[in-house]
Amino acid sequence: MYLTAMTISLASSIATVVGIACVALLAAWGLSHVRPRRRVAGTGPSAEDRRGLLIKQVERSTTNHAALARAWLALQLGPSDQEVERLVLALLALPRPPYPYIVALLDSALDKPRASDFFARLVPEHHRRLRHLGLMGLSRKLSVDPALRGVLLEEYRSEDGEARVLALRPLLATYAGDSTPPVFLLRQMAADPDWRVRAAAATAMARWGTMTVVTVLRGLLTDSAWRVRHSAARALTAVPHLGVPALESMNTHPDPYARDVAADALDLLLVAVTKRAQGSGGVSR
Amino acid sequence: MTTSGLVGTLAAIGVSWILFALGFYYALWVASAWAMFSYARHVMPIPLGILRGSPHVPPVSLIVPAHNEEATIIDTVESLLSLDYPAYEIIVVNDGSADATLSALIARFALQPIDRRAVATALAVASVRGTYVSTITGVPVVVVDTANGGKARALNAGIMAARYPLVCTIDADSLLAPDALLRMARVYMADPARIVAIGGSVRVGNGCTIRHGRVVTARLPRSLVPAAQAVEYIKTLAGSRVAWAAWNGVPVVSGAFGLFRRDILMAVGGYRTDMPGEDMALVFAIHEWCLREGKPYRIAHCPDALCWTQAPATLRSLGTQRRRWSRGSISTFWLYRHMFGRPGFGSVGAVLMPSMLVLDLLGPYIIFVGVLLGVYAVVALHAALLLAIVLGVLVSIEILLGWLALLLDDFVLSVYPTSDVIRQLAATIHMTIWYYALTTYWGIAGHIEWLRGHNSWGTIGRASWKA
Repeated sequence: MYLTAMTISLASSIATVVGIACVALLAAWGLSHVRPRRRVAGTGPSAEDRRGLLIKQVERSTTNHAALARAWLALQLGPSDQEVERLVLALLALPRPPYPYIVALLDSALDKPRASDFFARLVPEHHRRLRHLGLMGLSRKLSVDPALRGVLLEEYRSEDGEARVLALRPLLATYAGDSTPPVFLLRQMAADPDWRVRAAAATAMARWGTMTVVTVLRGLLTDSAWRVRHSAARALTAVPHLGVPALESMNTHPDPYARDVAADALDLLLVAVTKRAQGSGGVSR
Repeated sequence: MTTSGLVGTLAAIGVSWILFALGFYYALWVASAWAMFSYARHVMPIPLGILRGSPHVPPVSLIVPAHNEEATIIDTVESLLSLDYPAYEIIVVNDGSADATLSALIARFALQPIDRRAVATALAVASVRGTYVSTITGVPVVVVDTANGGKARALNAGIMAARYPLVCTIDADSLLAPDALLRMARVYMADPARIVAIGGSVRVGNGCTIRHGRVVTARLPRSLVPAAQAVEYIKTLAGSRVAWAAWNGVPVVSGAFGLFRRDILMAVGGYRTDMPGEDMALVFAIHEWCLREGKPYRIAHCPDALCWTQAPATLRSLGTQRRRWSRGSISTFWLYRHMFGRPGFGSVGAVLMPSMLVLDLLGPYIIFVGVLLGVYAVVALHAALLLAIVLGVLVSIEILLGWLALLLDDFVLSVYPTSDVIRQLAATIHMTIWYYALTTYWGIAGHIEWLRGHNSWGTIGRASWKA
């Protein structure tokens, strides 16, 4: 019994010492963060040196967050276009590059025209990852330079479904200045075997309020994929004059899913209209 | 076997258990400290402004199951409406409340019935009585009214009604910090191909100052029972959960605040409706599914995404909750026992489940036998002094482990004012005397209830946050 007790005491004492050492280390770490390090003005490394160091650290980073954190710091120091490209290449070399995060990082750090130019430059790249990043960067732009149409069309005709989804939005954005929609392209997108392409196409079509577009969207209401039906119905609610009658005409459609999604969209539209009519009173964000 | 032989054997088992527990908890703490410092160095410096307003942040459906939550539901939804996040919707599932939960929601948010038949039954849900949508909120607020079917069925109904690829479950008595969801997105977006779920940092909000559904001042509760739980939550999250996330063996993503990929939830069949501790069972199901499918995955933890929950304020309601947790823990372990000790199931099979068996499930019994041995040592062997020394050393190590976790949390996250941190450190001392004795008792009681087939939730009273 005494031997047992002594063993426990000894082990516990060792653990206590280890614990105290951990507390001391932790306290030291905390203090080093609480007390700001002094730096005499003008004696630190130049912005260029710091950028170079950070970019090297990004290239050596093994985790996404570490790479992103250092890339953010480097972007704050106003890098040149070559340095931005080097940073992006380093981020894309990560085992699982976080594309949306990189796009958000560049969108946030570079001014808008510079970011748009940068993404547009990446689209014709041979490197698949760079191309995808460029497409993703352009996918939220309302209009894209029509000169890129050829490259985007080529990308859209790819076998890769993900590439087609990514190329679809910027491709349609190149037609933003045209008064008539690219009907042949829209029909092709609506018949795509990948439901993600059909859903993205339905959402993107709402920008043209023509009868042709409404007809294509009405056809998508009977699609086999729920997300496509839903996107088509929501897009129809955004088409002035023609969308609502098209949805109402689905009341007697033989397909119960098409009737359902149309009724749902009309319900939501009614709610939105009621909200607008009630003005700004009530709860808001 | 003679009495001294039996006592010696039991003492040897106890000693081995204590040494294993101490070593394991220290290892957990060291791993936690490593992960927390890494998080502080690599994740926290990335400004949230990059993601705030960015169209590339994935939209999230927030699911709030509510059963008899009229006291807190309005505050909760208002807290969610003020979240700083680019695109999200709020889905409240009224789980057959007998009180005025639904009417309070209808009145406050001017709900209108809509015919959303998309709430299909791919997952186990109770019958849907109606769906409503708010006409006055900027963020879509959808209320799905179902017959009473339990929390798991309510959550499943919410998952079915969700439109977005990520769903976030929140308890109806919880309040999120305005940037909590954005912080989770910061973690998710860095590795979206692998991350399937993220747990948030759930804190006790009983003592906090709340205004318009927001925690404006974080304070430790004044009452003893909620304060002890507040300290326990911090110790668990900072002292072990972060380490489990680093080892990809997270045992549970709290139902109070957790983010999941909707497609993964659908793939594993949503929440189980036939057992308590549905949140733990769901996480085990996700581990098993991903490992069986050979899918690279991670269940992460976001220590700075804060969620404030109402802890039980009385010992009676705390006992009800802890017995349910104990039942949930043992039933999940039993259900997934085929993963036990199998390296094919990664750190869950090789590390989590063995440690769960030895520390969580057998722990209360070993402590109970240890107490009996202590009494025997005093009465029969007259070794009171020696026992007091041993107990003193053990208790001081337990306190030290608690302090390490609390200090780690404070150094990295600094949620509470210094005076409250000192109170937390002091609470760790007295909690070793009464709180862990009670949790040990409730642990054993929960196991007995599980053996008897008891499967109810029990009743835990809620108070308004304004109270």
